Amino acid sequence: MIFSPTIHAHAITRCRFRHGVAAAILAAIPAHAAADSGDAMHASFFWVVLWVAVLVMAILLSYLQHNRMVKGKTAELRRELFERQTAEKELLASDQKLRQSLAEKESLLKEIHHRVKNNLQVVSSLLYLQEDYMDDPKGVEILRESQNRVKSMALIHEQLYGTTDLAKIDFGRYVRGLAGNLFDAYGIDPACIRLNVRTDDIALGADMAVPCGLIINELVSNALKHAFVPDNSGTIDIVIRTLSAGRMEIVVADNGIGLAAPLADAEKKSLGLRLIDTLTTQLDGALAIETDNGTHFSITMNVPEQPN
Amino acid sequence: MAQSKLTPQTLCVTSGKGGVGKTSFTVNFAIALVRNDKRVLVVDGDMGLANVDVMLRLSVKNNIRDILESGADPRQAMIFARPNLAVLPGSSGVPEMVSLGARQQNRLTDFLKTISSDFDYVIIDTAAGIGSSVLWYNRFCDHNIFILSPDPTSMTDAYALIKLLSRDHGINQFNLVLNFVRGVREANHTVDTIKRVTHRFLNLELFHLGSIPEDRSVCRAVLDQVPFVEQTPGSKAARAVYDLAQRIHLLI
Ligand SMILES: Nc1ncnc2c1ncn2[C@@H]1O[C@H](COP(=O)(O)OP(=O)(O)O)[C@@H](O)[C@H]1O
Ligand SMILES: [Mg+2]
Repeated sequence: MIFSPTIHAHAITRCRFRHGVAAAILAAIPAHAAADSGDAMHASFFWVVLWVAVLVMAILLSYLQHNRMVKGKTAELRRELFERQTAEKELLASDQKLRQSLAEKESLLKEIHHRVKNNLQVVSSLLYLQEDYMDDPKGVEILRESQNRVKSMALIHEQLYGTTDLAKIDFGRYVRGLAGNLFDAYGIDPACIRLNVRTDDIALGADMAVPCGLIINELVSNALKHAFVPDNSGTIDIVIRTLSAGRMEIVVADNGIGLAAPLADAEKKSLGLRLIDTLTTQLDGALAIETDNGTHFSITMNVPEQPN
Repeated sequence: MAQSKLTPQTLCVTSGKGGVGKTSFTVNFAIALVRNDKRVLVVDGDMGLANVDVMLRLSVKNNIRDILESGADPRQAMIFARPNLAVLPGSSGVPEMVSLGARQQNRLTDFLKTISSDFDYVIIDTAAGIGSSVLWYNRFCDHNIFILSPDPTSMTDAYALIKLLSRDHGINQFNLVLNFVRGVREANHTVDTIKRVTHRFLNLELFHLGSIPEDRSVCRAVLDQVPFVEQTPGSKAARAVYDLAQRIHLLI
């Protein structure tokens, strides 16, 4: 008889209650139940009911407590989500703003290149118009040369506003355009004088492209004017290539009559040759000339790192 | 202790979101200040849903617009709800700022300045949202008080309004009062979160003046049309509001 409530209680424990606190409370049942020795059956029943009630209460309370904790934690997470969403929105907005201002700057820069090109073209046209007032054929030639120099600079700006990367110029494309202009200017039939252009993939900033362009302008002009004197036929090779370790080489060669006058005499040099000297120095480059078979100019210089 | 007669401090109570307790804060805070021997004017800036007069059970007789136009003494529009506590009720027709031209806006500014001069504090209860009258009142006042609940939507709306005010209206000092708070932990988390966000993206430091707990006596007081600081002075919410009134000199 004494053991029955214990067994009963244990059965209840096993069947229904797994909660830690509940189990601890339940463990106390036999002590109370056993203390009532008189009307043990009824007393134990009373105690069981009481303990069950207490347990239900305990579970209910812990459930409510749990619920509150979950709610609190959920609210906290929502606020963290708010922080993240705000951050995301703000970053997106600032990113968009940056893009927009970049686009604005680019279009402004394009506009400026466009205007510089237009102005240079005006200068070139003015020089052309002045030819009419010049009787001396030597003077006319000088004006023509100046026109070509101005045009070759204009070409750089024209190419800059036409490209997506406003800082860099595709030098190969530029050289082709430049040589084409010169052929037109001197009225050369491309069938008589062949032009070979071979360029590596080189991108230059405007600060380098302008002096390099002027050098090539002078070298090709010289070749067209002087190299192929008797029959006006031959070949001009332009090679632009990267050498090892951040250096590049510009080669302008022709298979014409070869350089007549020695270059050392500075006073007698033409403006073109003096320009080449000055610009090569400006670019910190080295000039080498061979006159074995026609004329072969080679200029090597440092170039900034090329992006791959 | 007494404020200078000529320069009442103007406080603007805003939230962005509605129903976070702007009006109940305004009314009860004003009464708490009056208990501290201050003279307070409450301006109901909420045109659409004006309810300061409802909370104080006032009957509105005079219309501000008429008074403005007739050129009579603007003080006639005020209602004294308690000794030292005057109310300029919204339903009496405080003209919507949007509808006013620059000249009339100046006249309203003068009107508010004239009417304010007899008080230590002027508290403006604004509408929800980011309407132009809300912006106008926020520019007009000396201290901006944001009522915030720990609810993320309230935080989002408050953040949007703070951003607008700081970016487009040159206001860069804001005070926070938390309402509907269910615990210190929740209050701290809310304040930390909104402070972090405004610091990071708007480069603003907010000042947390204090918090008002969620309290059933507030709802009951609203139903009875009696401010809870009077109906249940011992309640948690009332004590919190009295504490806030003690800290009013800390406002930035
Ligand atoms: N601390 C609070 N505890 C409980 N209820 C509140 C508390 N503050 C405000 N309320 C209740 O919120 C409701 C909206 O308050 P109200 O001041 O009208 O907000 P708002 O003016 O911002 O729209 C009111 O019914 C009020 O009883
Ligand atoms: Mg309101």
